[in-house]
Amino acid sequence: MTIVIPSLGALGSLIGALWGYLNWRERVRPDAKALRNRELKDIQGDLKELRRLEHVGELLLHQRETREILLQRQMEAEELAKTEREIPRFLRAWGVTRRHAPQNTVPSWAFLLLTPDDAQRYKWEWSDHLRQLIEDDEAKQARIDRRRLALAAIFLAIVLRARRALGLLRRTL
Amino acid sequence: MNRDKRTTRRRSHQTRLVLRVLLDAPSEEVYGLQVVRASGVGVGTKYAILRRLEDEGLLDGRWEQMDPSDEGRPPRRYYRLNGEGRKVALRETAKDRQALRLLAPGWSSV
Repeated sequence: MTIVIPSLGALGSLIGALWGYLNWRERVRPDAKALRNRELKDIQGDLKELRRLEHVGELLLHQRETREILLQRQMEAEELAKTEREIPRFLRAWGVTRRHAPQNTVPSWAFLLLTPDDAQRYKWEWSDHLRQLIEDDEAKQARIDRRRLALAAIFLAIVLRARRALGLLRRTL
Repeated sequence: MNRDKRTTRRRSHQTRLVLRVLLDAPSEEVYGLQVVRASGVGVGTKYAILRRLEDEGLLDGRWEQMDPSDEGRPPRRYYRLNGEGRKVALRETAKDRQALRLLAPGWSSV
């Protein structure tokens, strides 16, 4: 077995090269702290991006929710409008619900006590009265007169019937 | 006799207002809403008054000549004072005119 004993000069060169390599490696190799910092920055960037995406997602979600709420409200409004259309006619006639265009006829119940001829006469005459008021843009007055005429019809029916009865009585006696 | 009693009795203030309006244009025909607007009498009362005056033979009433189905509206009823009605209206409103002359000497009437 041959033992090679290098010369001191060669050994020194080898050690120097090794030392240089180690130094170079130390310089080139990324620092663990720096690496950690860089990774941390990357993670932070990712987190930021995630947060941004999350924010965008939330916005989109919020938009969707808002749209759903709006759709819900629209459906409710349509449902309400449908219900309003179905509200009994007499409630509308009494002005319990929202206001409608004034009508140009006196309610038919007002003519019940009048004789058929008188009922026909006043139906025409009062319709003309109300129609003329509506044409003259006096809708409020038309509403008032419609109510007054309906009440007046009862009074008129009683007066006319009493007058006829008295006339008949006079002629008989 | 009966008629005389009806034509000579003192009439209500509202009736006199209606007669006054009819007397303002004796030769013209007027319809219900015109009388309401000119007299200021309540709408319910006014139609009762017109009916009574017509039944008493003081007013001539007639329906407008038209076809309701063609026009899409009911016919209008026109009223006009007749000779008897004019006499009664003049008599009924005489006191009012006299009072107005005292209050406003320059006031002229029919």
